[in-house]
Amino acid sequence: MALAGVVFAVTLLTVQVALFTGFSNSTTLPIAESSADVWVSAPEMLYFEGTLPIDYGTLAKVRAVPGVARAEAMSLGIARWRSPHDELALGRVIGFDPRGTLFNPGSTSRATLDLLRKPYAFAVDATQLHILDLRAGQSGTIGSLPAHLAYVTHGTQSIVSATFFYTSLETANAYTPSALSFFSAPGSSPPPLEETDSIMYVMVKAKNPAASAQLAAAIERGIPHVRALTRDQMLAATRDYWVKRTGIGFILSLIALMGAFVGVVIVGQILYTSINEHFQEYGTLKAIGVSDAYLYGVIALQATCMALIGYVLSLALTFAVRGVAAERGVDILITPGGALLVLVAALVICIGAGMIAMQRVVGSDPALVFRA
Amino acid sequence: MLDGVAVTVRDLRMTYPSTKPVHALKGVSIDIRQGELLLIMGPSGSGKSTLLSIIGGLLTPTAGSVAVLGAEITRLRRKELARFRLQNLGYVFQGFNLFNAMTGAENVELAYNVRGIRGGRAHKASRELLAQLGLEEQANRPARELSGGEKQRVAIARALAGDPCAILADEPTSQLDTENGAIVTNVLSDLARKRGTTIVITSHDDRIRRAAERVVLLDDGRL
Repeated sequence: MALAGVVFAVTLLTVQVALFTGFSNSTTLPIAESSADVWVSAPEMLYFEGTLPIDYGTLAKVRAVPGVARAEAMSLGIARWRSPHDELALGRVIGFDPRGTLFNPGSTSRATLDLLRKPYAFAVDATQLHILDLRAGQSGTIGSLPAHLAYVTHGTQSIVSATFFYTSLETANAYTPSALSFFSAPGSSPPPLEETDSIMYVMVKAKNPAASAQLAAAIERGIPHVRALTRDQMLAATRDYWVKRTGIGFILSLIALMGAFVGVVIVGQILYTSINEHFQEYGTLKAIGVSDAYLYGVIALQATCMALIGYVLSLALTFAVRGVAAERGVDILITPGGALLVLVAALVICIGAGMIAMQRVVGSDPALVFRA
Repeated sequence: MLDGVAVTVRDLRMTYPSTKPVHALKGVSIDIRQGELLLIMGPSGSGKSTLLSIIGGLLTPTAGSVAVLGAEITRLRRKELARFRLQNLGYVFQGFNLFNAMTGAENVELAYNVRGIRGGRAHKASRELLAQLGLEEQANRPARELSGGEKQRVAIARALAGDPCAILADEPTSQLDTENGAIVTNVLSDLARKRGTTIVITSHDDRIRRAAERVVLLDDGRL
């Protein structure tokens, strides 16, 4: 019974921590999918989706900066999707160069990536198909233009964002045209981008990745009105925005804290009850003359065993829940750091609760066992 | 220490504080010889358990002194007293106080373990003790499955694990039937006679009265 309670409490904690980690990780997925060392954007950039456009011409300027090994553009716009059955959905069109090497959502093969070179072809995460009312091989429309599902990715959809439509820069530009760009007509191929067309980012591969910060500074010095962040800075900016500045980040943080709090209370209550149930036995040991240190050692050992068994079982349960959640696009992520955090928390909670509960035994009058 | 005296009690007084203080012991003095089986009798509330608890170092008296093997235990500090109990005294409780999830042998082994004797030595010694008390076959059974008499004999084996100079037993036969009560009485009597262990018992049991070398009556906190 006590173990079941500990498993429940630790599972609660594990799932909350894994949900929070998964959420935190999910917010930065497009950045993590890229191998860029530096991200160049408008100076107003707040987080990945919260930025203003820059000219496509910026790409050439970035390429000219010493230390840049490779640079590729990325665009980001809003898509109004209409399914084959006239179901509507909003999404984000992420345009990139399928011939490039710096962005490959879902880490697919080159041949698969090449499918996006066809006009109006897109890829989407498998978890989004039901939202888009779409099946493999089907087509819909984005705006007034056709949209053909070229392939399906896995693990590329942020839970905080609308559906990501991954497509070529040209198709993305056609789907979300800027005021000055050419408007594609149905049936024609989207034209290449011009210098005045809008993109959102220039992804940069540094010749020396270890000197990414210096390269970012050089780009900001050399090109007016841009901001350049290293990969880590870009990840942190986006993660911090979602975790610290939005309601969902606050709610998940609160839930994780509540999970820890409830876990402490449950485990504390369980161990306290368990020790009380065995009060006579501990009291007998105390009467015999066993030292307080020995009694604390016994309870610490029991609490440690309980924490370890509860931890292993809770991990198994969390992995089971993870599979179900993943089908719905919710990432329950158990990182080594997160797993270690839960293990330490489980040990601290169990041993701490055991020590507190043991106070009653240690402080009790050993003569009580003669009167019981 | 007087020759052959295991326990010396002098002018022992115990008052339990409350709005109306209870004077459980009102100046008790007694010497208990080594190897003696002493029975303390008295009506309920006469102070028997209090006296036994103070002699056993489980309770600190309001006044007076108790010396066990020459050591004045009423002057020992809490930690020293616990160590003294562990090294010199054994206890047998009315309700057995066994670890029910453990086997009989494990209960006795635990008593060795807390005294620093572990592994094969503790295993062998615990089985020898149980065999001496006629419990070879019950050694591997969980304590909760043992009969009352078997449980009390396991408890006596546990009390003997530290080879104590004295065993203090509080109503050891009160929860046993006639047959088991007789067995436990014989075991305690043998311990005093053959091993020279001092046995102090509180009980109303006539069989123990017959087996005891000396019977003292405690009434209203006085012998």
